[in-house]
Amino acid sequence: MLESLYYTSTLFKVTFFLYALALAGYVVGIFRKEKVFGTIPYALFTIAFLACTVLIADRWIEAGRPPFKSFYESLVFAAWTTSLISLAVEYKFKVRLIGFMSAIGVVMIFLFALTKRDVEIIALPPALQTWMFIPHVISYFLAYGALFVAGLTAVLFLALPKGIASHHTLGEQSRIDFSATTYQITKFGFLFLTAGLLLGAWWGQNAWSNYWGWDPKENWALITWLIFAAYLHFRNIPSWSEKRLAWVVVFGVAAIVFTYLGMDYLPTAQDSLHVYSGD
Amino acid sequence: MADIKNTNSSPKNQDYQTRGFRRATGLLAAMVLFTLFAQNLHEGTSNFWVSTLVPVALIVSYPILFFKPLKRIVDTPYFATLSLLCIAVGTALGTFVSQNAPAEVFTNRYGESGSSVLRFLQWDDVFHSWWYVGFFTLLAGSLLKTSWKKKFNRENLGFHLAHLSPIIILLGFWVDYFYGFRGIIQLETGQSTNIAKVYQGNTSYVGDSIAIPFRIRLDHFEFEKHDPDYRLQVWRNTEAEPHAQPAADAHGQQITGTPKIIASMPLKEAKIRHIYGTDIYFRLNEFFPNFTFEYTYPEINDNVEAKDPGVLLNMKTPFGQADVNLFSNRPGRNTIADEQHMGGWLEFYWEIPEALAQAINGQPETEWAKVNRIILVGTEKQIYLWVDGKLSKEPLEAGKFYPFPNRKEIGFTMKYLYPDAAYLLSTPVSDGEELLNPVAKVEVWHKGGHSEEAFLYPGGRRGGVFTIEGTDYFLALESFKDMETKYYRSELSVLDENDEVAKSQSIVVNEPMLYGGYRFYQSDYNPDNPNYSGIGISHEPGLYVIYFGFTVLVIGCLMMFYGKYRKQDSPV
Repeated sequence: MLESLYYTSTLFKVTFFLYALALAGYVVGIFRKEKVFGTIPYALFTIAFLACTVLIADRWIEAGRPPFKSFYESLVFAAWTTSLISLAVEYKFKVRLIGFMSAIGVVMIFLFALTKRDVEIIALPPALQTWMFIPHVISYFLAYGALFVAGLTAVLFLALPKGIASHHTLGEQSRIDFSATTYQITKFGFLFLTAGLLLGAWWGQNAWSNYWGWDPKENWALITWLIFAAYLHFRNIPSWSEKRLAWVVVFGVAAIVFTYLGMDYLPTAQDSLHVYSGD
Repeated sequence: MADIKNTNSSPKNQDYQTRGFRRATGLLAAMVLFTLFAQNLHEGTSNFWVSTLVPVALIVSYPILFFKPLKRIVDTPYFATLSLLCIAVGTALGTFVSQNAPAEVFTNRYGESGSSVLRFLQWDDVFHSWWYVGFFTLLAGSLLKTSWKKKFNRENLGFHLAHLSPIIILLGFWVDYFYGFRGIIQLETGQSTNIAKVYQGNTSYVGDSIAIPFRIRLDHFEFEKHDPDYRLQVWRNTEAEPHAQPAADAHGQQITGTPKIIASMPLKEAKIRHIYGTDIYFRLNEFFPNFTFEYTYPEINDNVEAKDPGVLLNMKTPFGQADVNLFSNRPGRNTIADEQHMGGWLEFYWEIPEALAQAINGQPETEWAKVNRIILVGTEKQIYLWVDGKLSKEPLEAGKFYPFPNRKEIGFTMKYLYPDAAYLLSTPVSDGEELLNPVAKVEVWHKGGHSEEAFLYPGGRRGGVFTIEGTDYFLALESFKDMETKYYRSELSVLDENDEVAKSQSIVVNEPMLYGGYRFYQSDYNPDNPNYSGIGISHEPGLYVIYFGFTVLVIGCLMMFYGKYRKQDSPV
């Protein structure tokens, strides 16, 4: 991993360092209730997010194509959308813990990206040389980022079912209910998950003459969609406790992770058109 | 779906809920059993009555048996939610086992008994199994009923759009399933056909053929790879595999194991690079896009002893020009004996050879005189041409072009005639900026040590790399980019029944041609056959219905979640 880090660009190193610094700030913030210990990590996380934006833009220019092709590129983009959503959620709900957990997630994504580092930039194959590639990927990664953060708030709900008071908050806030927060974020994520799925079908029709090919990745994308659709419907069943609801979201996030990373383990993956290049 | 999370959980309510859950589960489980039996009966026997009527009776009796409870169950939140999860589980099952594989492939993979069990469960083709379709049918019923029960007003518009759009999508899907097809038309340039091979299910296994009402002709096909992008690469040899064939680098050093690329750098001259974890540094000193040697021979007196005499010729062929040295005293290096391509041999001797002397005296050896020859004699500065059994001679002039016998396009120009090659200076240069023969000159050193120079050129493991002594690392000059396809394009013509061109269009991936309800896609090529093109064909009458459903679904969700008139979210 150190060898990989050595050969990455300075921009990557700086971004990674800033995210790690933000995480350190959040760790300190857990033990100190003063407002400034919430503001500093939030500011650091914002700066790291901006650096990540530059990193992606730079890659886009260098590659001369959208930087969403290789596994490494998609991981960096996943870190970007996760931090974007986390910053927005932390700002809206004034909860430091969300930033803290997202920062852990983002740092882990970066470490994982290092092991999947691209030695060289790959050119886009013909099927990906279309503008339709961009909204499809952006929708999906916004959805993944949001649902990942929703998964974090669901875990927070399971850990702190009574919510938390202002100790961990950024700004004025009395009490936060993580179940309601999870629902708000999941709704947003589900909307983009739907858009991503349908944009993918539309693009698939243009590229492979097939809007739905029962490809394993497509199937698992449908499965994640169904799980989150089920979550939204489980809310209407009075006897389903909020605890169970939180578990459905966690389960949905696990399905996303499997859809994203686990396709190689499926016996049907050899027929897939969606498995990322680069190991 | 209500936005308010209901927390009514009195014991009575709990009991009602449990029953609701049991009923929904029972209904779905019964559907799976009925459809499994029906489909196996349908497929398992050739008897018309058994294969058609019994399944139909089973399918029809299923909703009748459940008629009253069905009506009550399908719009419960339990039923809708369970149906969604059942579809999720069914879909997941379909990813764990190969789908639509040809019988022998399937049996090979899962064994005799394994594949019969999987087949009985319709697990070899989940997505067309009656039970899987049954889930969707029940879900569609549930969606309809749920929507029907909800008041139609502005507040609920998003709800209705979101819950009716999946039905629209499913309708489009079923129309395509029954009336559409996907397949491939394989053509070579100039060929035309109206026959397409149809894909089996949703896979690329080819099944039957189908005729379309017009012919498609492939007028032209072209295919291009990306431009090369040469880079300086650091590779490391990993542990040798037990049966790996050893290869050798340019210096004869053995390379074993599987090399792994560690780093790749753009060709930036003079920039010092470091190999991680070592004290090795290197830099690119010069890059030659079209490497060649430029030779110069110093202006020295003719009294230099003829130690290693030679001649530097510039050879011209239809494939290009190159400088070639012929050395009189070095066996094998004094002749280019390629009669087939050049129409004769080219030879250089410093002293007149005996066989030639005999020929001049009119007694040529028969064997020797069989081949057309161009013989350059250094001491005499003469050129002897032996063409079709006749000998002629003329003085050798520097800078004059001499064509080969009967070959105007092939020939040579003499640049230098020299008595000793030791005085010949060769300088690496690039003949133009075009990437024809790329070579990189690098300098490698250990920290504080002497540097070593190396020439790298592409060509994989069999040469052109530089192994750094005492390490597992080697440097290479390679381009990966030009191994990847940039685009492939077919120019198609549609021919009507009178063989007249009704439409012409060029197609690439992502830009299909639409004609007469059929779509034609650029979907396949063969790197070994530049005339072949695989044209994907699809006929999907339900496509626009599906697109409409997609749009409505997104709008519906958007309105339901964030619309102006929706019920406001309330805190739990």
